[in-house]
Amino acid sequence: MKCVMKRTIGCIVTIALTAALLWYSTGLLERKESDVKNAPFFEQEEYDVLLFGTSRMGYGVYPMELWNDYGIVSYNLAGHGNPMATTYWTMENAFDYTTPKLVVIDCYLLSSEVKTHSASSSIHLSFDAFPLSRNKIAAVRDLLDDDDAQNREAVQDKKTRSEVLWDYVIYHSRWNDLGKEDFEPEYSKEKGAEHYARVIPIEKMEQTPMERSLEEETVSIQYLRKMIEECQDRGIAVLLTYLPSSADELNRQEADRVYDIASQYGVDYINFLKEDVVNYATDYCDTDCHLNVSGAGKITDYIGQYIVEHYDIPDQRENEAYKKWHDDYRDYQNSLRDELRSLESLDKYLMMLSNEHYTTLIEIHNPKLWADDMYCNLLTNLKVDSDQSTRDTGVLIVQEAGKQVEWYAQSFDTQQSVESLLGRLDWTEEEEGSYQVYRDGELFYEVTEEYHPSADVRIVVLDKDTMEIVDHTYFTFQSELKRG
Amino acid sequence: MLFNSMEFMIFFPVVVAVYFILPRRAKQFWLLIASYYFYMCWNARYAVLILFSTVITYGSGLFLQKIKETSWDNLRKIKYKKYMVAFSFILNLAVLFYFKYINFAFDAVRELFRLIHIELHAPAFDIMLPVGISFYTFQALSYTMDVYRDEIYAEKNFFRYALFVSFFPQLVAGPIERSKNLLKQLDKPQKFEFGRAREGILLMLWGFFLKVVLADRIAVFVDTVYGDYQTYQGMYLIVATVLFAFQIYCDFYGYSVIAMGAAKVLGIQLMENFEAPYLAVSVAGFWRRWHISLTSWFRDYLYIPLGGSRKGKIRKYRNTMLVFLVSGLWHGADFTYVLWGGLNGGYQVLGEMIKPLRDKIVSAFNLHRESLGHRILCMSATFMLVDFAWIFFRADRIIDALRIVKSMIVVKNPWILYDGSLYDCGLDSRNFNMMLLCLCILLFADCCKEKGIQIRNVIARQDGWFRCILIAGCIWAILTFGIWGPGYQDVNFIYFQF
Repeated sequence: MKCVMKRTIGCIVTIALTAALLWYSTGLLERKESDVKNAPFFEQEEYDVLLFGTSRMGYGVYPMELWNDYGIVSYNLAGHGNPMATTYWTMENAFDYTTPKLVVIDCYLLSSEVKTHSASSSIHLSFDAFPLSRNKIAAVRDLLDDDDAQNREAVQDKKTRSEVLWDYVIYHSRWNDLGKEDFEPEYSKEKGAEHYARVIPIEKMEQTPMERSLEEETVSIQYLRKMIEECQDRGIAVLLTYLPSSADELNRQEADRVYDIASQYGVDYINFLKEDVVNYATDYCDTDCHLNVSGAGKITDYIGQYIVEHYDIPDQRENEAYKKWHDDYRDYQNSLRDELRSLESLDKYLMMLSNEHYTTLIEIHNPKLWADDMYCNLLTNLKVDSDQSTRDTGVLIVQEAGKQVEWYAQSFDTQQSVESLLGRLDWTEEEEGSYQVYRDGELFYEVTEEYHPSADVRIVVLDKDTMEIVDHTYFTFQSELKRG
Repeated sequence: MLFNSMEFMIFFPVVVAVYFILPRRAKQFWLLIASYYFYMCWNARYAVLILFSTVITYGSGLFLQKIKETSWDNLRKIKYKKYMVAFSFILNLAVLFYFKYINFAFDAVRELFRLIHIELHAPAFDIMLPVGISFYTFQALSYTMDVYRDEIYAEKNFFRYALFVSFFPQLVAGPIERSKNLLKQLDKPQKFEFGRAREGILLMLWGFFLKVVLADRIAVFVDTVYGDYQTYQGMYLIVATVLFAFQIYCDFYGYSVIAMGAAKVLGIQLMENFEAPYLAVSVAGFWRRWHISLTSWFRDYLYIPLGGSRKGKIRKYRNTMLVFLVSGLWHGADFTYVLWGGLNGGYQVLGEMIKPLRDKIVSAFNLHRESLGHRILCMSATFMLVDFAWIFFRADRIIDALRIVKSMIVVKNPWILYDGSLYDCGLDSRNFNMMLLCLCILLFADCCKEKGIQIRNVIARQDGWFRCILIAGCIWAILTFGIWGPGYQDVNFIYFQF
């Protein structure tokens, strides 16, 4: 009997030890993308607004800006390439942890007949961060039993189900790829949103009459209906959107169909294809119509304003329960500043200056800048009137992303001084090969050898509140304006 | 259902648990059901083929027993017994021929006619090779022969006999068990025994290590190089060929060990199929250690009936060559396999022929055959010969094999051994080094085996806490460092196709 007991305990210890090792290595070995994006979602119990959709939504609306500007407590749970079925199950899983007052659903891919994106990384991004639950199992059972998608690699193999439910199945081979970020993951400070600091101009399609309308009851439409019904059953308001894109035929068909669905259920709908909110020359980061920081800032502001005006969403900025969100916002802004300091090309830099927390001084030493449409557009995006300017060398001062703009033509050959938004600015050359700029008699910044006094463009970015220098950088013409 | 699949991880514990809960009489039925289910997971229709083979050999066994028990004179008995054996062999081999060799036979005939400028339009059959057909056919045929030779009594219980043919651990890739060993054990189901189950599980873990950590990792490298041998030339091919020797060893040995372990948990002892073959000091020695169940099958049921070594040297050489050519054909319906078999047979014939010369050299230089240096030299030579033959086994066509050999000789690029180029052949540096480390573990285990040290017995003697940590660590290591899951396709065991 004693022997049996000993053996039983031995077996239990072995199994427990194996389970512990596997549990630890599952967490360690998994790709951290999903955790980085969505793990902070679980830190907060109550959200007022949840945002769902594809990567267009992920790159398009910034919860941190909704918080800072409107006091809206929101999280962006959009996933890359998620058809509506995947979005539905993301929402169902999210509802296990919170019940928001409003759900915003972007309706891109409404014509899709599939339930999951072909790349398995997409479903992992959406679900890996969610702990195993009945809803997660239901999601996997539904999404990965997609007959219409049987020929697609990611779902062809039924084992994909197991790899989503226990991601060690797919990630165990990452043992040779572990880095510091696996042991000490840094979670996103953007509350689920993502951003690209890049500028790719896109063209809005000519709005010719549509050849046909989207009349089919696609799989995605069925799931959109389920989402709306589920929200209405739970007393959650729904706002549908169709974020701005090149507005090709299919986009417009999808966007048009949403009107019917929205009116059928009595929910609001913003069709951004018909709104003139973004600048197609400066606000996209790729040809897939993902918005960059500038574009997303505009959309976020629009949606924030809309929510405040149409829904009873409280301003939580004074609520003690959300005190930490102020710190989160500061961290978020700091990470944006770090990114700004690392940018190498002027187009990205000018785009990132659309941040309303900055006041910027731009020294233009080379008028060649004005000959480039891209830079002109980006300056226009900062409310600089590039057409009426002298298109010469000079100093631009842009306050809070264009709230106020000043232009001073200047040659930089001689000592100059101007009365500006920033006070009295004096350019002086005390030593050859370097110069100093004084603001109201105090040294503002100094351009020494290290800062390349003969650079073509120099930018000094200030915090609009403290007027401390966030970054001081310069760009010189190579094939384009590059840092250094 | 593969051993290295999630399905088996569920299937096996369920089979074991139910097996030991069921009353003694029901155990065989349960194992029979489980075995057929295991096989039908590949293709349910092919279960008919095992059933066919089972019925034929079972029936012929009973008839052979009846003939033996008649009052007929000996000559008549022998005559009818031979008819019965022929009946069993012809039917079983006909099925095997149809499923495995018919396209090869037609192709060979077509090529033969093409040599004399006659274009033959032979039909091509779209046949999928039933998994493990060569294994269970040979196992069933050995039963017929054993009954014929009066080595066993014919089994009367059809279900027990059906279980003998289809016993799931060794059904699809051996070892090819003998009726004397397995039928007897199936007749007397064992009770659960903790120590035996632990030993079985340790064996299975060792087998999984060999398969998923080592064989499948090596396969990535070998497949990359052999799949594009025009790009990866010279030293790449030499390294890949050396590694292939270990890949096929770990793959097949791994399966055999998992089979042994699974059977052991159920209280059944299967035969050892490998005895550190790459530590053999001659090609003949290698074949006494490699795929022992098949080699001994050919020895007992082909080589000896052909006269073995009893009828002069020429007959012995002929028999050796014949056995190895057939063995090559058994491995696959292609001339590459026949050539591989022929090479292995040729080595042994040549070895026998030059034995006096070798003895003279040993005597003249006063070499000590048992010295470590001499043994290492012989082991290396044996390995090189065997490995050279593996080129033909691995290559898709003979012409590819010849090009590979030519590239190995002609292209000189030894620097790839140390300039990091080997890390660009499917395995990055960490995976490559992991493979080397695992090969060292294999070599260590084989050396221990050679010295008569059973590592699992050493483990069994350790304290309980140590065993717990070791087993948990092994499971974790196999799961973490193994090549499995959707990131990689589950790689079939190489020997399933034979």
